Amino acid sequence: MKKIEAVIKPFRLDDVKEKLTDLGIKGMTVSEVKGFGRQKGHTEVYRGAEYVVDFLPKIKIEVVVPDWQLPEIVAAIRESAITGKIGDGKIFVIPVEECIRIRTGETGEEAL
Amino acid sequence: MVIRPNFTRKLKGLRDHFIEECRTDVPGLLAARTYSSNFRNALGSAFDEHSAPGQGWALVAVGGLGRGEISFASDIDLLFLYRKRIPPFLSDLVHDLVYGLWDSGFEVGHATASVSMVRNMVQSDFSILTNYLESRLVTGDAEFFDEWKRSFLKQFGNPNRRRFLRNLTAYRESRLRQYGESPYLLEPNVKDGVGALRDLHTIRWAGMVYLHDPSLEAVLSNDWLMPEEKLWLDQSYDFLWRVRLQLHQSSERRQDRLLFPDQEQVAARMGCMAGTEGSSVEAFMRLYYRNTSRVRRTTSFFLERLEESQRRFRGFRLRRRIMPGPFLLEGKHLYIMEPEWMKKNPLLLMRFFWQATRSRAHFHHNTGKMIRENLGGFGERERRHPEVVNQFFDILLDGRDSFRVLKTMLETHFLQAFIPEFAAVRYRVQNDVYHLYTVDEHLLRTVRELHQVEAGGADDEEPLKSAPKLISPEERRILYLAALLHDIAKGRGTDHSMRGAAMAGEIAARMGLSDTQRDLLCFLIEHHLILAETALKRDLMDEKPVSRCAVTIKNRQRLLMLYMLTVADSRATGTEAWNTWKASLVRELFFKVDRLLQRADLEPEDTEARAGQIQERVLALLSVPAERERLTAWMDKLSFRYLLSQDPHDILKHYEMEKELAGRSVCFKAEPFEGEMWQTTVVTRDRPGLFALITGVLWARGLNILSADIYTREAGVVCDILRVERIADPLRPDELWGRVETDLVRALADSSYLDEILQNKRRPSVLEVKCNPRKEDRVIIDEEASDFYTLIEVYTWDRPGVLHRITNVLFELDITIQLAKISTPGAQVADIFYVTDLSGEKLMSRDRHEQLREKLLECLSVDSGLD
Repeated sequence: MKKIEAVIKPFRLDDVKEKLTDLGIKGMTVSEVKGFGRQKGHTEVYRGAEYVVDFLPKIKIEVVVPDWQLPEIVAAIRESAITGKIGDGKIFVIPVEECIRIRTGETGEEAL
Repeated sequence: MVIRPNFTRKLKGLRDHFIEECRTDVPGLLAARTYSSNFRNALGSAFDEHSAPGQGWALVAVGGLGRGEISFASDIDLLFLYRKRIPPFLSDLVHDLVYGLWDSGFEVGHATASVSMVRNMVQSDFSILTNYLESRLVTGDAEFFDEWKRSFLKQFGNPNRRRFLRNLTAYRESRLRQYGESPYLLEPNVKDGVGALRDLHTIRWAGMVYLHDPSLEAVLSNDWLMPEEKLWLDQSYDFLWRVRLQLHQSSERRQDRLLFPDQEQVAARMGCMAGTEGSSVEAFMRLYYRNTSRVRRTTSFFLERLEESQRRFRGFRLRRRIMPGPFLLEGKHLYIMEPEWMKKNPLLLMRFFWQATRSRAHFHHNTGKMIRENLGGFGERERRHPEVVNQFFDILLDGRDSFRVLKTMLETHFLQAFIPEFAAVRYRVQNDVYHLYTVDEHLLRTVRELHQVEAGGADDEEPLKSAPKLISPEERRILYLAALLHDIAKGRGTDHSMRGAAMAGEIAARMGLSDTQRDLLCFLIEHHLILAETALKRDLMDEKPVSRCAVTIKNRQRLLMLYMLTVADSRATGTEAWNTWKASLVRELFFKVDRLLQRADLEPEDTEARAGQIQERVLALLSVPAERERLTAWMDKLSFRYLLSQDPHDILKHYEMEKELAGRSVCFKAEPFEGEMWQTTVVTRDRPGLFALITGVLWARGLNILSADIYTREAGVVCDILRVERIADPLRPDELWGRVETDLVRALADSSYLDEILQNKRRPSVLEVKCNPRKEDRVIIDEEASDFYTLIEVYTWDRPGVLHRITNVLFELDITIQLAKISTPGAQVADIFYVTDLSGEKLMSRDRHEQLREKLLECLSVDSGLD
């Protein structure tokens, strides 16, 4: 099992969600986050004074998938989140040791 | 909670039993239906054990279960339907049942809804509508269910039906668009793909809405299907289910895409054997495409007929025109009025297609049947008839409609009645990722691309500008015929070009072409690969391959025709077969051969004089006159090959770089080249294994090397010019080149550094599992192709760092690489190296050849880069 954490531009979320449900993922967690990457935020002018917006709003998606499904899910996220511009985001893949469904106590891929 | 295990134990048992049964091939549709009905019964009785017979609710099977055909891996689609308010005991039971199914590993898609909620859901979502169209009662109030189903179907009055049909057609079209795109053709989806099970479901849904009966029999009795078509659909329905069950079995999950590794598995399980059809996978996929293309076609005809029978103003007539012969043009559709005439006069068959081309008409859905039924009379006499042949050429040369009309000719089997050789390439699969289409499809696409290439010439595209002047109308006809026939011998063993030419000779004789025309046709087919092969695999700076091409091709007309054919052929092969790099190589070769042919004598030019001119031009570029002397002295030591192949600006640049080398170990430059390609230049002091080192560094930075020119100077300095692609971040190329330069410096200083970055790169990624069909590795060593170098051609499958590995073997064997050409068509790699031994001589020894071949194959057989 692997956990995929993808930080993407907020307006791509619907596309990503649609693609992933088409691929039959069992569930996902989405949160609104702020942060910066190489683009390092951007400068804005407010009432004549220049100030730096440090953190840009992003969406973070977390999905845990069985190993065999990983490549297609990652590819799907990339395809639907890409705009080709700076700030498209990143995808992290993290190994998952174990997964337990609280209601039943099932473990492993069964519990996904 | 306590009762849950009982609920599902029986269901689980059923499923496990079915999985076991599917270890071997089972009768597809029958198995899926039997399992589905057993499953439904078991579900019903499990539910009944815990519920009192009540009124006003029903447990309904929808989706696949409602249709009555599921696989052990399918979703279980259920609808808990109640009249107005949900009975309290039901909600608990639903809860128990659904949880029980989940916990036993079933995928459940369920809804609990009242009659009015269902009405709203169905109105707002077309896929829910189709899902609920075929429903069956599992258990509950039978009267209530019947009443609901009746009223559900009754909502389709005429306006609703029309809207349904519109939605259905639109849904199908968007599906075909999605799955008709390239990767899905090679690894098709058994459920949603083009001509797959969904098409058959489409017919069933329409049957439900219009006839309240989903069966093909019902549709048949309404004349929306022909008996023959129904028979095909029955067969294909069964075939697709057989494939799907085996696919689910072998992949151990609900995976509906036939990926390459699965194709091999399923082919074996379904008893496909290697033989006349090629490998077992090719035989299986050919069968698969034969089935899906029939389903696709028949479903389209079905929808057309249905649409026609439902036209609102049936009295309203479209504009009708009687055409010469028994043809009628109604609106945009061309009909055959008296099919019997075709029996008496089979010449009318070609005339029909010709007429369709002339009037830009669409084909009526009954055309196929009428054509097929009357093909019997079309024999040798008709094939040779001049009128038929002329009409055929009119169709072939029509820029707008040739592809469409030829495709119908192919699908109605008329094309193979006219050219019997075509039968052998129907649905013929080439099992690699390079050829996207079956051979028949590829041939028709080549004709279409040729029309586009020719149209591009009107926009002054360089080599094509002279096409209308050079190529006579007669020759143009032959060119198009060659496009249609160039791969006709595919699947008949090796060297399809030679065989194809021989077959084309017979076809030409049958068509009554003149001797000159026949010779031209055979020539074009026999040599249809010469330009692509030479351009991609030979050094174009070398006179020999260029003059060989010129000797074979002989005149400019033929060169131009071959060029057009090459471009059309490559473009019709697939997206990966043609890119700016190949286009520029083929164009370069074209101009070189053309220049040679224009000069009309094949004697090599005076290289010394030309080199002198180039030296003059370099000197003219120099801004500091004081440098003149040093530059002249430097240039006098350069090889002819270098001088003749480089642009004067580049030569001057290399001179500057060499000067800079005084204080450092390496001088590196990168500049954008054509398209997304970059040209990198590395100037450094020569040392053993240098080239392997450079390829290693570039690969470790994710770059793909397309070609390399290696120039060794007398003073022990090397100038390597490499063209590369796949710059990861085109927005910040400078960062990448900075890293490459640092890597080069460090790797030159410390040999362990290269190993380190290679090791990093080789780290297996969890994201790479794709497995493509592989061909055997091959190594060809050629002493003939060049006067100064031995050629080594290496064919293998693409994998990380393969070039670095090959160059490393060459280095270990004391072989110096002078030039490398690398092409990666699809997943296959063709690497060509121009090499010498350390003293600059050709290898010229059988022992060395053998040793070289052995070592290279050995290094390739080590699996992937993960060792």
